[in-house]
Amino acid sequence: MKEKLNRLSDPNISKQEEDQILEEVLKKQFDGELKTKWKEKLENEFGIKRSTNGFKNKKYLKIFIAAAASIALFITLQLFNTTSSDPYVLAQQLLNEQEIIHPGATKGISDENQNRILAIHMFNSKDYIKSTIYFNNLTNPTEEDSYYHGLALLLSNQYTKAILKFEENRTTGDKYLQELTWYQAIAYLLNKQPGKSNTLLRQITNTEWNYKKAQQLLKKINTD
Amino acid sequence: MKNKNFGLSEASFEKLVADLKRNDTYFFEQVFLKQFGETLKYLRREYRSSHEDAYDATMDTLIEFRTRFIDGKLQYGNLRFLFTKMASQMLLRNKQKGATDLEGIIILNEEDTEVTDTDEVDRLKKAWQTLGESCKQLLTCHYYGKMKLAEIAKEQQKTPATIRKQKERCIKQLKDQFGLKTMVKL
Repeated sequence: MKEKLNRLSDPNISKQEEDQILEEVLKKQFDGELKTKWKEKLENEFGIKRSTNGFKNKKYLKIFIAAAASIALFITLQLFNTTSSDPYVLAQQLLNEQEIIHPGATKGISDENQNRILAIHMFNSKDYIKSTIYFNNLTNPTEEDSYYHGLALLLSNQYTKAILKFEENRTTGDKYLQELTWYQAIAYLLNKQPGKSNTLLRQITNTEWNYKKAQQLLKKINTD
Repeated sequence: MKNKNFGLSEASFEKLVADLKRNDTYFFEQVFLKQFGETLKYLRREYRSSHEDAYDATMDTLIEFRTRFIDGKLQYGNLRFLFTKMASQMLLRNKQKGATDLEGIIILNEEDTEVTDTDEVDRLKKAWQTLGESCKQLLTCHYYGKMKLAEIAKEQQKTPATIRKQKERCIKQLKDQFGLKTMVKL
């Protein structure tokens, strides 16, 4: 960059090179300014920060520690007051805490694509029952279609059908294998089949997705 | 169709591009900053990335989207899909870049360059500040907004030749100021 900037002072520089350098330099400068501006907006208007931890002000750190201690105490008291439905409640909580969004589909004019587009639209609008209807209409569902079809069944509380769909998905490919194991385990648990859920949760190794959550659920199931 | 384009109609899509060419990002922010959280969650879930990595990838995608809009490389169609896919690619690209950096010398070279560049960029910033508003606007629209001089001329109701001469004067002033500051420093 230094060399390029100094080239600007060269009296023999061509117009083309001059344009190229100025374009590059100004882009870098303005992009940086936009990032700073958007970072502030995201933090102030949407509550989204880049770093989720770290306190610059010790006063806020103390408040945070006090709040965390209160929450920890509250959770501990809740744990002493457990009921037999705990693993099922936890499974539902874990399912609810993650917003699941379909990444979308390419446009198309065939009936198949129309059904796919509507299925995805309904899925992202959280109308999971309608989404399952459109997914059902697909004559040649892809691996992705089948995976999201299973999720739509799970999220519309059709646990038995979701389990069957997830089981079917396992035979068609391994692109979503880790996700299938996790969501099928959740589906079993919500369907009051803790034994089968247990078996699947144990298959999640410590390098795989949601390992810690799986351990959390296993602990609940086994102490229930 | 609007849903696939973050609620934008075809007409508002055109307005968004026109605004960006003038470096007016208000409308762009209204539409895209709302998607930030959703994309961030998507990346974290689908790629099990850290919050910071997902944040950086989404921010880079916003910048890249702005560039592609003004380059005319994005068409009204399925912007939601494109944005998500681009964010995914950005995440993977950033991860690969990080891996390369860890492997060796590259990171040291980049740090060296950054330190030296800061001086030069700082002097250019100061030179830029000496320009009048009309010069800043013209150069910003032309270089950052990729507007052709003829387009700017039409908008400002001036002849293309007038705008071309104005651009030359502005660049000369910027270069003179930058050169002057370089000489003073030396």
